[in-house]
Amino acid sequence: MSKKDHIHEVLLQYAPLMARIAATHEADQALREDLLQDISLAVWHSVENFIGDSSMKTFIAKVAHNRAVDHVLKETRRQDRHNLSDPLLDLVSTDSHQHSDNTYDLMTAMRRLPLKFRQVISLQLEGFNQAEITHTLGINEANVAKRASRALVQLQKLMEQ
Amino acid sequence: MDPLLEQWQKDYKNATPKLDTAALLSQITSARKKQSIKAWFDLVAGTFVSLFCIYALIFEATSTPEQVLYAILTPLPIGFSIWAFLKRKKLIKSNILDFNALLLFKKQQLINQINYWRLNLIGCSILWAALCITAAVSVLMYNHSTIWLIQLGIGTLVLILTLTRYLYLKYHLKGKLNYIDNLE
Repeated sequence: MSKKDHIHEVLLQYAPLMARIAATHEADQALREDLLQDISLAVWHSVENFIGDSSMKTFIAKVAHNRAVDHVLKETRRQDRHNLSDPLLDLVSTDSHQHSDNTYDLMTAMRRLPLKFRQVISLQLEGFNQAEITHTLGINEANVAKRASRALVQLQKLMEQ
Repeated sequence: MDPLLEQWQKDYKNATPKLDTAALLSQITSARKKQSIKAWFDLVAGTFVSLFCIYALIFEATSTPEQVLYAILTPLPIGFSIWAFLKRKKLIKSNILDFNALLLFKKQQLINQINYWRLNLIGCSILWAALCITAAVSVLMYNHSTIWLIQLGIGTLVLILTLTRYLYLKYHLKGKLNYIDNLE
């Protein structure tokens, strides 16, 4: 398999993960698509620097989160465009209507969280364990645990609103 | 596992936005190609202009000041190309930094931006002052007013734009740095 084919395969495999990370940082659909492209490009460039010190999934989550932080900084500077109550009309829902409402609430609530909590909770919901979150964010395990518990409390409060 | 967390994990996965992976792949392949072409173009153009300066230094310059001018100009285009190339590399490496290191990198970028525009402003001011003196001499001694007034007008406009950009960035710097500090 050529290098290009390998990168294409990686991108296709992890596109849903990257799309979810983009969705937790951007409500506007057009901007979210731009962010996803930006993340994908960054992954393409960065895969060459992957030294295997973590799983490929962890590595990609790290790159995606870094691009998302960059995006948040840029957009916040440009204008307060992160209208957190924007509906995510294109959400995929496989369950009932009630489930769809819950999904909408979860994503909206997540975008209301401070960035440091949002990162931890999104990785946790993605299924990463504490050690992987530590590696992705470059903070110690105690900090991850503290942020995770505070994020859960805040998220629960937001969901109940 | 906490049942609520388990439910959220399920909801989170179900909240995956609709994806056209083939279109995404095609878009980023094209974007990467464009970036690559641009990077090569910058490098080739910089090298070409530097080579032209060397040619002019050897074959075209007829006086010492001209030779000095071309000798000073020669390393600038290729130097700029190398700087741009290294900057791209650094930007790619920032993708795999830790969160706090990334924020530090972002803060440094903002400070570098201010320094860049301050240097630009100083350079423009010096050039504008030199232009004023030359224009004054030319108008007063040789009565060549139109061309110098046009040049002075353009120079003043460039200076005002540079000053505006610098003041704008300086005014917002503290707020931007505070915002990043709050993320840490």
